[in-house]
This record gives sequence, structure tokens and C-alpha cells, in this order.
Amino acid sequence: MPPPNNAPDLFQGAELIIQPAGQYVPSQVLIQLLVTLRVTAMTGLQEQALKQANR
Amino acid sequence: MAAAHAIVVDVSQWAGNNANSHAQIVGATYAQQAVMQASINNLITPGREGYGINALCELPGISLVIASKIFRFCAPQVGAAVDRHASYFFNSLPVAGRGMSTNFIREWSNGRHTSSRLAIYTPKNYGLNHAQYLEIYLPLLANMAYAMDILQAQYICASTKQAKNLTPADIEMAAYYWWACNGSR
Repeated sequence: MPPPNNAPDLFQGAELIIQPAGQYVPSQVLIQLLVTLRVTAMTGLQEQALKQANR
Repeated sequence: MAAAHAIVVDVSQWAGNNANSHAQIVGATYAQQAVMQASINNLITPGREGYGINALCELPGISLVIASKIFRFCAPQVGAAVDRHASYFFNSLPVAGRGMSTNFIREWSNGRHTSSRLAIYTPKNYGLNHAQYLEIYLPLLANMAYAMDILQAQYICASTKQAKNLTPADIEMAAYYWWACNGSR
């Protein structure tokens, strides 16, 4: 079995769009995903830190 | 030079580097610490980042993953780490009509095929992933961060509750967290 290099069709509507000038622009779905993940990433990491501190 | 060594030790600890590798970093010789210092100087010099990454990766205990995390901390506005999480996310993120965003080489990390990682442990795979990191991944993240800045797409910082623009490291952090929650092992 090959290693899992990627997962096609994983992100529904989250993609990058290349503009005529070559700029990569995230789709609105991807922007929302990244912004949400960035917030929860910090919260998640803080939770992990608190759990470790309370052990 | 001691400061450079301390930075590398701290990042290795924070990143969860394996015990043997971390011990090698902690016990770095005077000459190896000098390489760390020169490498960090390169990491914070635009256009010389690749030299810094390469030199760090030649030191005992420092892989491309750890070197990229050192870059991320030393150059927080432009640096971003790559690891099994982010490589899987961007290998899976489509560019409309063009395939996937990146093509990092990945491999199983155990014989049972229950866990995977970035393939960086042979010269060929290291070379391919090093090039992918510097030539595709970092420019892509910088490009995305710039576009999101223009579109005024900000996130709310959990600590300060202030809206902030995303840096390449913020995008990498989001990708990391997606994989941690949803990714295939």
C-alpha cells in the first residue's frame, strides 16, 4: 500500500484559484476554513497546555 | 553563539523532537553551535534562507522539520514550518484546474502502516522535499497570506481578542490543526 501522500476531494469547495497575474487566491470556503482553524488551533493548544500543567 | 544553541534546543524541545536527536542537539560541540549561529543569521537574511536550512539539516539531531520550525521562530513574519501535518494538508489542497498545491514526498513511519510522515531520511527524498519547501511551499504560503491581507480576512487572536492578519506561520498553524483533528495518520 502506498503512503498517504494526499487525500483528493477532501475539502468541499476549499481551493486556491490562480489569478491571471499568477497570484494564488484562496476561495471563500478556504478562507473561512483557515480563519476558523487558526482560532481553534490556538484554543486547542492552550487546552493541551492546561491539561499538561494540571497533570 | 550560546544564544543560537539555546534557540535550537528550545525549538527542538517544543517541537517534540525524539529523545536521541534532542540529546544530540543539547550536546552540540562548539563547532556545531557556531554552525547554528551562522545558520540562524542566514535564516533571517532574505534570499539566504535555503543556506540556513541546509546547514542546520547537516547537524546531528536536526531534520528538515526541526530546521523549518527554527526558521518559523527566528523569522516569524516570513517563516513557516513543514511537517507531516502541513505536508498532508497542502498535498490535499487543490489549485483549481491545476492539481494539488504541493507535492511533498511522504512515507509510512512504521512497518504496520498506521502512521505516516514527511519523507526526509534519504538524500533523494530530502532533496525533493527541501526543494518543495523552499520553492513551492514557502512562496505559496506568503502568497496566500498576502491575498488574505488584501481581502481583509483576519482571525481573532485567542489571547488578545484582537483581529489579526494571518502570516505564513498562521496558515501553517491552521493546516497543522486541521490534520491533527481530521487527518489520516
